[in-house]
Amino acid sequence: MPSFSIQDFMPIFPAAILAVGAMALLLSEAFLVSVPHASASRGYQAVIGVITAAFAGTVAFHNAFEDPRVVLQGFAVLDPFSSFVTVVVAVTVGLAVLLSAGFLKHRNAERGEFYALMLFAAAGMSLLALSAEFITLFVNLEVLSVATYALTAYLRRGTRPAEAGFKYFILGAFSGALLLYGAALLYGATGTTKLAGMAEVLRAASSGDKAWLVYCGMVLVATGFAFKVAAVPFHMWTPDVYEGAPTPVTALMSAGVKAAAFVALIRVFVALAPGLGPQVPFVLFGGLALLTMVAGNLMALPQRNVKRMLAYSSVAHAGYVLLGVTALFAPAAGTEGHGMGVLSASPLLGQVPASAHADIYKAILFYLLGYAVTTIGSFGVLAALERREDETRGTTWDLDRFAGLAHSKPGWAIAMAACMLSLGGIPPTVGFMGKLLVFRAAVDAGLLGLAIVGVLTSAAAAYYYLRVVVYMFMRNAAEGAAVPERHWQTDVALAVATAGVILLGILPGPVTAWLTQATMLALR
Amino acid sequence: MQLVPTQHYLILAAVLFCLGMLGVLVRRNALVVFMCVELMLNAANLTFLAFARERGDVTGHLSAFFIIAVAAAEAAVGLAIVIAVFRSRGTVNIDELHTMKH
Amino acid sequence: MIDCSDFQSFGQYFSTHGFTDTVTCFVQNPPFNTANIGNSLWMIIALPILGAFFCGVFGKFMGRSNTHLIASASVFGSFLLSVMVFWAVNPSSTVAPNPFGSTLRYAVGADYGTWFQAGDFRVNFGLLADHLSASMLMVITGVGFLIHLYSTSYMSHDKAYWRYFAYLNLFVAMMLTLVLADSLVLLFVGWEGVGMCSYLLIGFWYDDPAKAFAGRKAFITNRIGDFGFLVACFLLVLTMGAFTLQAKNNNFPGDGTGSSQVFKAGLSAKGPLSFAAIDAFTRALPSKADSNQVTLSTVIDNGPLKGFAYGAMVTVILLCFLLGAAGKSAQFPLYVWLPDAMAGPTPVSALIHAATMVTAGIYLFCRLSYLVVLSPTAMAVIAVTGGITALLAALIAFAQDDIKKILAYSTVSQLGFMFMAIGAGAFWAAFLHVVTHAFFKACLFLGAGSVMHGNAEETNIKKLGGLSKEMPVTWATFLISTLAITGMVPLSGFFSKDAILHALHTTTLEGYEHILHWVWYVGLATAACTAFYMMRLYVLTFHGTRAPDAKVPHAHESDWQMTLPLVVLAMLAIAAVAHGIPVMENANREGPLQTVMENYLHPVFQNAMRSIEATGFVTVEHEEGLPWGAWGMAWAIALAGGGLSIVLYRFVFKRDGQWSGPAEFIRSLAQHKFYVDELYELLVIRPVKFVSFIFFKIVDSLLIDTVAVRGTAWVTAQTGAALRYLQSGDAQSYAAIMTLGLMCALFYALFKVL
Repeated sequence: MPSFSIQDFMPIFPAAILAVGAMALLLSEAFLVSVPHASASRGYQAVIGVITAAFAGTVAFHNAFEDPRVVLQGFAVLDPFSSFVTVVVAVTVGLAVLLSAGFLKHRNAERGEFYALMLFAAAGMSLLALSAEFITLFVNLEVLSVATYALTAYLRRGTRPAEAGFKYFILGAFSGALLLYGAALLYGATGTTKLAGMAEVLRAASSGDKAWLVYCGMVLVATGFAFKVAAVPFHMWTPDVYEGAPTPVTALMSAGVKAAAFVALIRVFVALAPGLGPQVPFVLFGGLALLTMVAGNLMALPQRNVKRMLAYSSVAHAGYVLLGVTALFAPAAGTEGHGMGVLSASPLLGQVPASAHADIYKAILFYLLGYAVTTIGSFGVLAALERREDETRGTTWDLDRFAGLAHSKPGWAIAMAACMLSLGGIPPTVGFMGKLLVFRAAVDAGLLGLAIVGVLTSAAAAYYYLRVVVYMFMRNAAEGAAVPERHWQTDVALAVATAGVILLGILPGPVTAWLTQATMLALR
Repeated sequence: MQLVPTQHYLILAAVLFCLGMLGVLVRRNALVVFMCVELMLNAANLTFLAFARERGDVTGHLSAFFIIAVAAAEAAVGLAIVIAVFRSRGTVNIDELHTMKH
Repeated sequence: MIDCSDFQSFGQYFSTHGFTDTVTCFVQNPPFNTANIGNSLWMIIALPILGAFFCGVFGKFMGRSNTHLIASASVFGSFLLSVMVFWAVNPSSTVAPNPFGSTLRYAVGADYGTWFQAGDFRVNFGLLADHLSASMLMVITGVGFLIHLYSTSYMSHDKAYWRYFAYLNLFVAMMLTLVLADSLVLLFVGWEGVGMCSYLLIGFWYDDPAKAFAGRKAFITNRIGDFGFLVACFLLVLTMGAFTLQAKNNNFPGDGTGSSQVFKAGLSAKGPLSFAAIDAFTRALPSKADSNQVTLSTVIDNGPLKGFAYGAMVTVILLCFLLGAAGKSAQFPLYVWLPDAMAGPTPVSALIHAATMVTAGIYLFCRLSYLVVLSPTAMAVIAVTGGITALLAALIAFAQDDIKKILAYSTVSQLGFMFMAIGAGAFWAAFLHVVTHAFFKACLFLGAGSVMHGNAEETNIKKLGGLSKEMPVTWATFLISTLAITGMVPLSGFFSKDAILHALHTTTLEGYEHILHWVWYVGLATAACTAFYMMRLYVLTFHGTRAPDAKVPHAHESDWQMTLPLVVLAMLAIAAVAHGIPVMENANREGPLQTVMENYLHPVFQNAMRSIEATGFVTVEHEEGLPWGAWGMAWAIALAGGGLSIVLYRFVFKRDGQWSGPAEFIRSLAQHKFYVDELYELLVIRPVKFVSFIFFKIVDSLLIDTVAVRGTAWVTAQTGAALRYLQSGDAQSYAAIMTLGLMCALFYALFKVL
């Protein structure tokens, strides 16, 4: 009979808080709202959401300083990854809730279940980041997916939300099935669904007759994750869904879902890579990273629709994180990893040492944090600029909407400019620091070719990011352009995000120092 | 008693999975596409069960139950979305869902 | 050497010693404690940043005069601090800490701890001011303040003046960061920052699509340059990493083991991209073949650069830096953005696109002088690039009629001169020209702004004329600066330009014996061209009669806020001559006399000079006495070019086709002389203009604008647009593409396993 102590439940505590908060919101919708359609009486819901997120974030922050350990009989782990991602998710969902408050009020669509779904999704993300067993992982992936499907189709105005929701749902379920089938094959090969157990079996067994099961299973699982993180060519849903979803939801998807999925992907593949040839995960992720960096940026280039541009940019940024992931699997010098053109690896110091791995983890986690803050800020400005009147038209997010923003709303323009600089990887923003860490880690692992592609594509990307800045600061607003409404919640969220983008860019020291320490500790 | 070998179950599951995948790719009715996804999930289920039976292990059975529960939840949300699509357009034909592109 | 030990106050010392001694001792004895000034360096940058913040955020509500006050006062505060720093670096007791062994003399600095760290790659946040930075500080804050003052009047009618002053203050802060940085990383922050401010200010009046394209062109060419800069930094880190593993104890002077430990400890404390680290690296890398040492010809034996020699890597690094510097300092072929940058307000052109930002490339090479001298190949390329740029820009300036365009091409041309000096290893000459050019070119631009201001924004010099009486102050200062840039004798431009030409004439690069000689000829030709087109500009603008198609019948002189900076700058353009006269003894008290600037910058360049002596890559021929012959020739060339221009445009060609003055007399003598002039026009002026036009069209418009800038962008955009059509909006085709991707991965995996 297994016995659990309170220590076992610490890691899932943030997720539990989020879920309780979500249920409270659902109940409030049932019992506390007396007058139907009176949005004035729902102002407190966003506050509950933010408080829940802050509470969960605090607990996760506390967890971050715990010793890394396996909990709940190996179904979950408490380590820097899970705690850090939970903090990121809590920050993200808190800001997204704040953004939603103004956004929904403007549309008379403020409902408790919207915030509740956001919190459920956040709980799913947090749990996904700490799952160490395939079925747990799948269930949590579905928890966050189902919540985001519903959120995507939440607004019922025009054809876009339902269409986006449907595309996301069908393709998401499709990729979920691929992942699950892969998990089934891996289970068949190893006889267990726990990652630690699988790793043990795979390390012990010489590649016997079950090898093909492992290979097929891993490829299928990789596909499932590649869909969630929006890696090319599994990114096709991204622009359509991001465009159709309510903008605060897009922000949550692009920041939180990506972070959680990346951590789960890394957890699975670091555990199971010994079952594959040394070159296979490297080539898989290297190829994904290459395609994603190049195609993501190229497709963002001609976009005039800023929301779609940000969607493609989200794809491109997945590519940079994948570059970091590839660095984890870079083959050592002298192995067959050499001589594959761009995909070749030649580590500077022979075998990639453990400390280099710590650097790679640090780079990935810092990049995810930086991207989350930045993307919340940029989608936040976008959400603030939207007007419900032209929701059914496709021009809501045209670049022209940004013309002259520096005059009408200088605060928003500065926030957007900071976020665009950060996405473009231009100092002094967090995006620059993140890119620097990732590229540096990639070069240390010997991925010179991929790193150069990364630098080149991010140089090209500066063009479309800065175009937004140019429109805001150097174009005059069209005659008779409507001045968007302000909500204090939006302003607070934007201020927090902008401060994060700039402060983390100028003084990344505390975060990177903590990450260095934590990852070293976890790897030991 | 002669047991059906595990391979047969696996092959059946693989065939079901491929059928489901093909269905997702070619069928035009949103509901049918959705059912094809369910087919894929059940193929995964079958695989889990086949392996569990081969090994005499309960993990696979357990997994199958979880998957069924998840699939049910997904179906609820999925059908709601399909209905929303039908309401906004009057059709559930996937061909006609391309307001957002390029 | 003057003994200043008994110096107490200026008056006391002056009563017992001569004037020169007293001044020397005065500047060497700052009346304040210099020990902690390094820790206060950040305030120089912080002041204008604060100014930018207040102007940008509250400027709209503060009203014009408060905005002006804050913006100007913050730069003036920086100027006062810069004066203190300038003073503090003079006494030999001033030292800055250096983790690579001996402390740096004649410098102040502070290290504010780790900025960020990625693996063993570390970057510290530190500031450093030595003689080079301190001089730059004075130029930036001094000229910057004058231009702020000028702008208060020039921009007084502009609606967005608060935004303008915020950008301008931010620019000053970024430029100061660039100059005070003690590592390439912080320098790059400033480098990008000034680029961003320049971009914002070029597009300040953004309602014109041509100006928008100008901004874009500046942006793209600068990105190409930045790419070079980053690659150079990257290669530098790799090369130094390889060196750290490969270096032998003999590489480090002293007892061996200890020094190599000091080097490694310094590297892990300061990071490989700090200037102190690069300096230590170049000192440890000798040129002579020695089996006990790693030398320039040693082949790298580890890391990704395995198989390349250190010398070759240094050359490649410098060429990449050259690409970066060419982008920022408008050198061939990346110079094209600078003339277009004139779309911005004129004071911006004066500050950013003439006096300060565009000299960042020269500053970079001066900073890295110890690295530059390790590669004669790179030096030759730098000199040739400078030569091509100088001549090409001067030729193009012939065909221009826009007053700001002429000044812009002239800036490009003068920057070319500075690059020639770098190529010859005469860093001090390059820097002297930076300083003098900052004064007279800022004065010229501000003068042009004053002319435009008084003539309803007319920029075509053919539609001006006769302004010498209507705008006397502008005229006088413009004349002085024109004479300075053409190189007339008692003015600063003569000495700085001559110092460059002299260096080119007397220096030989190993392996490239004749190149500098050819560049010297190019320099002489350019000097003549400069004199010609500058005089043309001056004569057409200020002399003769007023053009019949001028926008306003009578010009008006500008306010004192605009004329005062002009007067101060013109006086500086004269006074800067003091830097260029060879009166100082050099450090070892032998050989020819040094100029004040060379003597002053000696502590900065001494490592480079030591390398030059050790490697023998660069040989300088010393002459006894003052170079009267060279001076005479340079003067004669300038006089000839300028004189020809005056004769042609003052007396021969008339604006309105009528003849007057002495030409009236000529006409009365012989009517058919008219055809001689026509012939002259046909044979000399037209071909020159034609060649100039061809250069302009082919190089500028076709090759760079169309092929390089638009072409790259076009290909990328087309690929992106093509990829976009994969995104059909159909969920099933998305699923099909996903399946395709999955199949590829599955085939690959099964191929691996089966």
